[in-house]
Amino acid sequence: SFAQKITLEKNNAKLVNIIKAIQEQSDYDFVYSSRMIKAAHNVNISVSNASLIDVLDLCFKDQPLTYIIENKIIIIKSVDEAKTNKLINKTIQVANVTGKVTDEKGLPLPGVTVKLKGSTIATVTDANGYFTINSQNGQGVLLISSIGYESREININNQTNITIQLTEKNTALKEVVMVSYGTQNRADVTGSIAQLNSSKVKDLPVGQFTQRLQGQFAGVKANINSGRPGAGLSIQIRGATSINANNSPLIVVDGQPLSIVGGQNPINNINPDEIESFSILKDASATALYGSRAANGVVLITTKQAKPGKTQVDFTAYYGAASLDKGHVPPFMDAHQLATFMNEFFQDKIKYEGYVNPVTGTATVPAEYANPDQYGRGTDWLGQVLRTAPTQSYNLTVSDTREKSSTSIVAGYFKQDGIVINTSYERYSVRANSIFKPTKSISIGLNLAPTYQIDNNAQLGPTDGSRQILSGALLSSPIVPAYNSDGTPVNQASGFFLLAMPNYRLIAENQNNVNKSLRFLGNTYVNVDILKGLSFKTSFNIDMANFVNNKFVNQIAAAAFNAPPPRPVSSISGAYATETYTSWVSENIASYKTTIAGVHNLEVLGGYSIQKFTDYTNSANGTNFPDASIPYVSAAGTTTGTSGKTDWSLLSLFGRVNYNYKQKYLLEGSIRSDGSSKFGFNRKYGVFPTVSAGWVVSNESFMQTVSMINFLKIRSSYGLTGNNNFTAGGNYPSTSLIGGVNYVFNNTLVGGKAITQLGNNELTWEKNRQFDLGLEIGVLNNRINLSYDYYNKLTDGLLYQINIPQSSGFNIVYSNIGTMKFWGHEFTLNTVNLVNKLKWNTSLNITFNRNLITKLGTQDLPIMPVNEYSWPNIQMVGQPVGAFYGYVTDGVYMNAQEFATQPKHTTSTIGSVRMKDVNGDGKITLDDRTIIGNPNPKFEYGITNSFNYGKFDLNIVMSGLYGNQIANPLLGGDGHNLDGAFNLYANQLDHWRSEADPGNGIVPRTLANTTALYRTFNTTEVYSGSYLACRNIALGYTFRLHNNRFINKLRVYTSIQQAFVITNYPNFSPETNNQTTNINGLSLGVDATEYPIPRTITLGLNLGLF
Amino acid sequence: CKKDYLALTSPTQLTTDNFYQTTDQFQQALIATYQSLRGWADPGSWLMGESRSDNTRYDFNPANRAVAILEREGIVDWTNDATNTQTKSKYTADYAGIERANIILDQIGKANIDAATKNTIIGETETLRAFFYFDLVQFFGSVPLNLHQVTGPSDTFLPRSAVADVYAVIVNDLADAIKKLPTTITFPQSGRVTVGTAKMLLANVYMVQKKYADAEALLIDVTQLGYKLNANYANAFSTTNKNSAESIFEVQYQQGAANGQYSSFIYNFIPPVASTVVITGTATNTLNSSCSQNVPTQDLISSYEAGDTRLDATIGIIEGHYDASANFVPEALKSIVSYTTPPGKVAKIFAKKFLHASTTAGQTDDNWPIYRYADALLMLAEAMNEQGKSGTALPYLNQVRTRAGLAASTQTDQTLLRTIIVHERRIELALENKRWTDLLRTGQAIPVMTAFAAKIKLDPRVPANAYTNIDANHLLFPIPSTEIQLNPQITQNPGYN
Repeated sequence: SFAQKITLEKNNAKLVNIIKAIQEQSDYDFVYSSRMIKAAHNVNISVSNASLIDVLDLCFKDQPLTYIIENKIIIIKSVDEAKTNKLINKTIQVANVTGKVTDEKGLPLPGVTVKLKGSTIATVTDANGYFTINSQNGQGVLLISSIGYESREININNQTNITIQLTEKNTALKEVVMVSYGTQNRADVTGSIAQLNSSKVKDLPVGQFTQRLQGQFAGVKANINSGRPGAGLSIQIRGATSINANNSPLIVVDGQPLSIVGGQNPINNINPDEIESFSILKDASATALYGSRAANGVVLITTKQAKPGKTQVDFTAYYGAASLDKGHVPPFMDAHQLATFMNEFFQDKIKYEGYVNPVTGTATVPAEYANPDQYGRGTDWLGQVLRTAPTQSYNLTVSDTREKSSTSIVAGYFKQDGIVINTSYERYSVRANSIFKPTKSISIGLNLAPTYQIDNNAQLGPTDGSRQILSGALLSSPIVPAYNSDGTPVNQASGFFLLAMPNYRLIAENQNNVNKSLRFLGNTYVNVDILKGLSFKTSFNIDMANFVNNKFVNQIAAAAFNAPPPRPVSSISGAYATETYTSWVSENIASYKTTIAGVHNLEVLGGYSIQKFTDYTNSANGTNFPDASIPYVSAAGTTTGTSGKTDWSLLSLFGRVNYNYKQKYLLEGSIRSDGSSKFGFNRKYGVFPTVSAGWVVSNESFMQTVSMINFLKIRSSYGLTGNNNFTAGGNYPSTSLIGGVNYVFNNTLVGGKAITQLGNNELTWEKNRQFDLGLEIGVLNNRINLSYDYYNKLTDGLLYQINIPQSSGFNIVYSNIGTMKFWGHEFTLNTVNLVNKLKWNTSLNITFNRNLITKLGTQDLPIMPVNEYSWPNIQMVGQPVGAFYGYVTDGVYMNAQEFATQPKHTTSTIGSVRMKDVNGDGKITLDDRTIIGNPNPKFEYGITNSFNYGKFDLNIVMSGLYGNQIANPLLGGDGHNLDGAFNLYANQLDHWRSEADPGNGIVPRTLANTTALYRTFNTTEVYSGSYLACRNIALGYTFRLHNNRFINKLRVYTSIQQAFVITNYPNFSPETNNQTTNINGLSLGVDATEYPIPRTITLGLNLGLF
Repeated sequence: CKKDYLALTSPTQLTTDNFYQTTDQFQQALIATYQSLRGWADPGSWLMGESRSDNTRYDFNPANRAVAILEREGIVDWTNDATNTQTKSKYTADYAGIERANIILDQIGKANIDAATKNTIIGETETLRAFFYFDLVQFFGSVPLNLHQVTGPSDTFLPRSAVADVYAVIVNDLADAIKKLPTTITFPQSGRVTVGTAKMLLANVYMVQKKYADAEALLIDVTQLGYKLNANYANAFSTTNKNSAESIFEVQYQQGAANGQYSSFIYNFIPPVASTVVITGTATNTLNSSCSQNVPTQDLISSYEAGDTRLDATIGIIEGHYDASANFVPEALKSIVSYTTPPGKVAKIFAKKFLHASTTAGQTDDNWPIYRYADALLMLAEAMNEQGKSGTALPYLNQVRTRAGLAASTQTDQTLLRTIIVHERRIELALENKRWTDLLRTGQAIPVMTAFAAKIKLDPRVPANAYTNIDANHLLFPIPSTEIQLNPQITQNPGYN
C-alpha cells in the first residue's frame, strides 16, 4: 500500500518543507509537534519515483527523529523517546481495532489522538470521528485524548469495534477563545475575557440571546429593562456608565461591528439559535483593537459554522405560556378600600373645607362613596389588560461538510405574544454560513442572514411608562364595573370626583402600531495563507435594514390618560414611517505567526478598517380623518410628509503584537487610531494604545512539584479606549445646525430658519484609561477553577449633552465635560462537585462594581433634577452616577405642638407631610433635598447549577443584585396623590385625619393645597432594589437511540423562566428599568412602571436527524 | 481623500458655515426671530402679565392637581418659587428671540445686501431684540446682556447686568431701528414690525422711565402714522380683522394643523368639559387639560362703568350644570350683561375676548395682541397728564371712551385724571396683559394687590399661603433656578432664595 511514487529534489531543505512536499504527492498525513521538528537537520534529497518508505528513510537518516506509519498517518517521534520505550516497531500489525470517538452528545469528534498505551503507536480520528489502530494482539489499553476533553483509557480486551465518548473538560483553560480579530488559547490570553458557548445555555427558551447571558459572567450585567415581547436586554460591562453617551458595549458579529439604530440593542433581532459562542471582552487589552468604540467593552459573537462530520439535520422546538407573576403586583386599593378612602376624604373635606357637593348642593358624602361596605374587591383593571400569552419557537439547522466546502443553514421562526393584550412579536430568520476552500491556502467565507420581524404594539405601544396602559389600569377606580349592564365595556374607569380615566382595556384593544423590519447581515471574506504563519484577510461586511411603521390612532385609542373615549373625530391620526439604513465595513488585515528557536512564540497583526453608516427616514402623517373606517394615511384630510438622511464614518488603523516565551511569559501590545466624522474639525482622531502581560506560573519548573495546583496565571493590562456614541445629538454634534422655524405674515405661512442645535467645535473622543489585574487558578485536577480580576477605569472627557445658561438662547450643547472613576472586583468560581453517576457542576460569579464622578465641567456644578417633580437622578462630583435626589420624609406633623415647633414648608399644616430640614435653616425649601438613594448595586451575582443523572439533566440559573435602590417617582407620585384623583396604594388608607385619628404617622391628610409636597420626589418613592431571581429551571431527558437510522438524538425538556423572584420591591419586576435599552446615568434605576417580566413555562424538544 | 471621508455634514440641515449670506437667508433668520414671540405669548404673557394682577385668577379644579397646574396657580397666588417652569418659559422665549436677533445683527454687516433691505432687516431685528429685553427687565429685573452670537459653551456664562444698562441697550436698539425702518406703514399690515411698533415700544420704555416728554413726542408721531380705532371694540380681536388699522403689533397665528401655526389660548381659559362644542363650536374633551385659567375676577367685572360695551366683548358666561361625577356640563353661552344665574344652573366666567370660531377643535386662528392704537392713545393721555397738560390729554382719552359707548371725560385735575386713565387702561386693555406692568409702572402694585388679596382671601378655597408675600421683592419674578445652578455668576432675586 506504499505504492505512491515520490519525486523530490531539494538541497539543504527544512524537514518540514520536505514533509509538505511528500504530503502533496501522497495521500498520507503527518502528525508531529512543531517544536520537535525544529530540532531536525536540513536535508539534501534527490529521488525520482521512489517509494514512500525509501524517501522517508532518506529523510530521517541521522535525524534525532524517527517515524512510524499508522493507517495512512505518519507519526514523527523523537529517537530518544522511541529508544527509551524500546518499542520502535515499524512493522504493520494485523490486529486492527476500529472505533469512533464522539462527544457527550454523540457528535463525532475529529482529530482526537488515539494511542496504544505504553507504545508509540498512535493515530488520530478522521473527520467522522473514526479511527483504526493496530492493537498488536487485541490486548492493551487505548489512551484517547483531545484538547478540551477529559482523556480516557479503554481496555481493548479483544474488542474490534469500540465507540468512545469523551466528556468536555470542566476547565476552560485549554479552550480557544475569540479575541479581537482572531482567536487565542485561553492559557495565552493576557486580557480579561469571558466566553460562553451556546451549548451551555441551550435550554433557555428565549427570544433574545442576551437573555441567556443573565447571571453567567462576572462583571457583565444583562438587564431586562422590559417584559415587552421581543424586547432585548441592556448589557453593561463593568458597570459601564457614561452620563449620556451610549453605555452599551460594541457588538461584533462574525467580525462585523453592528450599529445601534433606534436605541435598540442591535443583536435583539438575531435568532439565538444562530449563535455558536459569545465572548465578552472586558479590559482595555482585550478590547483595544476595537479601541475607538470599546470603552464599554466588546461582545464578540460567532455564528454557527458546519462542523466536520457527516450531514447533520437538527430540529428544535418549544412552546410556552407566559403570565404575570401575581406575587409582584403593585399593592393598590380594591373597591372597598377606595370607597373607604373617598368616604373619609369627603368627610374631611366637609369638616375642614366646608365642602358642598355641587351635584346635590348639600354637605354630604357623595352617594358613590357613602357606603363602602357595599363593595368587595371590585374590578381588577390590571387583570383586564393582561392575559396568559403563548410563546413558540421552531428552528431547523442543516449542516454539511465536504472536502472543499462547508455550509450551515439555520432557519427559525419565533413568536411571542405579550401578556398585555394586543401586543406581540414575531420573527422569521435564516442564516447561511459557508466556507469554500479552493486550495489549501485560500478560504472564502460567505455568511448571509436575513431576518424579518413583525412587532405589533410591543415596542411602540403605550403599554408601559407613566400613565400608560399598565399604570393607568392600576390608577383606575376598582369601584367602576368593567362592563355595562348590557355587556358592553364601560368607557370610563373613574367615578365621582376622580380624574377622568379611560377603560384601559379598550385603549389596549384599539392600539394599531405595527412595526415591520427586514434586516440583512452579510459578511464575506477571503483569507490567504501566503507563507507558513503569514496570512492576509480582506473582508467586507454589510448590515442593512428597512423598518416600516404603520400607526393608526382611532377615537378610542386616542384617549390614553386624557379623558375617556371616544375622543372627537379630530383626534384620529395616522402615520406611516420608513427607515432604511446601510452600514458597511471594509477591513484588510495581515497577520504573521511564528515560533523562534522553539521557545519564542510571536504573533503580529496589522490592518485597517473603513466604516460608513447612512440612514434614510421618511414619514407621512395624516390628520383630519373624516372617520376611522380606513386606518391608513390615504384617508386623511390633511397629510404632511418629511424625509431625511443622516450618516457617519469611521476610519481606523490598528496593530497588535503578541509574544510569549515557552507559554510562560506573555506579552501583548496593541494600538489603534480612529478618525470619527462626529467630532470637531481638528479633533476627529483618537489614538488608543494598550499593553498587557501575563505569567503562567504553573508552567514554571518549580511549580511542577506543587501537584495540587494545575494552572496558575497572573495577568495585567493597561490601556486607552474610546467612545464616540451619542444617544442624543445625532451624528453631527460638533456643528451648529440650522432648521426650519416658521411663522405667519398676511395670514400666510412664511418659512424661517434658526439655529436648532448649537455646535461645539472642540468636541472630541471620550477616553477611558483602564488598568486590570487578573489571576486564574485551577486546582484539584482542575475541578476547581477560580478567576479574579481587579479593574480600575478612568473615563475622561465624558461625552455629554450639557445644559448651558438659557440666557445664551440655547439650553444644551454637546461637550466633553467630566471625569468618572470606575473600579471593581470580579470573581468567577467553577467547580465540579460530583463526577460519578450523579454529576453536579456549579458556576458562581460575583462582581463588586463602584463608580464615582470626580469632575463635571469647568466648575464641578451638579446636573440636577429641574424641580421637585422631575426625573430624580443627579450627577454630582463625589457621588456615584445617577444618584437619587429628593426630600427625606419624616412622617407628618402629628399635632399642633409638632407643627408649631418644627421647620415648615410654605404649604405645611397640621397633619401634612413633614420633610427633614436637611440644611438646618429652620424651613423646608428646595434646598432640603439631598441624596436619598443609589441605583448602583453593591454587588451583582449569578449562580448556575447543573446536574446530570443518567438520561436526566437539570439546570438552574439564578442571578441577582444587592444593595441598590429603585426610584418610582411616577407611579409613586400618582399612587400617593391624596387629592382624590386616582386609585392609590392601599397603605394610603391609613392617613392623618385629626390629632385624635392620626393614621400611621407616615401618610398625611387630604386637605386641599397641602398635599403636593407629599408627592414631590421623596424617600417614600425610593425602594430597596435587591433581588434574587431564579431565571430558569430546566429539566431535560435524553433518549438513547443507538440503532435508529433517522433519529440520532432526541431530547425533551421543560423549563420555568423567571420561576421566582425574591425581593422587597413592591411594584412589578425590580429589574425593569427605564424603557431605553441603554443604561443611562440620567435615568438609572428609575422604574416608570415597565412591562413586567412574565413567568414562562415551556416544553421543548431537540431532535437530531440522520 | 482621508480628510474628506470624515468631513460629513448634515445632508438635511444647513450649518452656520453656509448660512447668513443672502437676503433670503437673513429674511428667514428674521422670521425665526418673530417666531419666538409665540413662546413669549403663551402662557407667560397672560399668567405673569394678567393673572398675577387683580384682573384674573383661576377657577378651582380640586381633582386635577397636576404639577403644571400647581405651578400656574403659584404665579396667580404669589407662591411661585424659582423652579417654576411656567415663569421659566418666558425667560427662555425672550432669550431665544434675543439670540436669533444677535446672529442677524452680527452677520448682516458683512453681507452683500442692498442698503434699503439691510436697513429694514436691521430695524425689525433691533425692535424685536428690544421688545424681548424690555420684557425681561420688567419681569426679572437685571438680567444678563447677551448681545452677540454664541459660538460655543464658553460664551454662555454671563453675569447679570444693571437694569440701567439693559435699558440703555433697549433705547439704543429702538432709536436705531426708528432711523432704519421705512417711515410709512402700509395698511392692511402684514404682521411685521413697523416704525409704529418701534416708536410705540420706545414710548412705553420712556413711560416706565418717567421720561414723559420723550414719550409724548413719540406717541404724537404714532398718531400720524395712519392708525385708527375700529368702530366696534370687539372687532379689534376678530380673526377676520387681523392686523387692522387699530393694531400696532400682534403675534401672528393661523389655524389648521398642516402648518402647525395655530393658537389655542381660549382652551386654557374655558372650564374643563367633556365636549367644548357648546363653547367653541367644535368638540374636544378638555376634562383633564389645563383649563379655567385667566378667569376675570369679580373685582374686574365690578369696575366696568354701566353701559360700557366693552364688558360684553371682553367677558362671557358659560351656563351649565354638574353631572353625576361633578364634571361641569356646558349648556349655553350667555352675555354677562345683567346676567343672574338661574336656579339649578352653574355659571362660569371666561375670557370671551379671545373666543372665535375655528375649523378644528383646539386649533384657533386668534392672533395675540401686543400693542393696539388704544394703548397708544391712553399712554399719550397719561404722558400729557403727567406733564400737567391735562386738558390736552382729554381728547386722546375720550377717543377711547367714546368708542366704548361712554361719556367723554372732562376731568382736568391731574390727580383725578391720573386715576381715570389708569382705570381706563384697566378696562380697555383688560386681558391684554398690560395690567401687571401698568401696576408696576404706576407704583400701585403693592397697595392694589394688598387690597385685592384682602377681598379674595375671604373665599375659603384660596390657599392659606396665597398672597402672603406681597412685597417689593415679589414685584420681580425669580431667575429660573436652573440658571443659578448652571452659572455661579448669576445671583437670585431677593425673596426667592
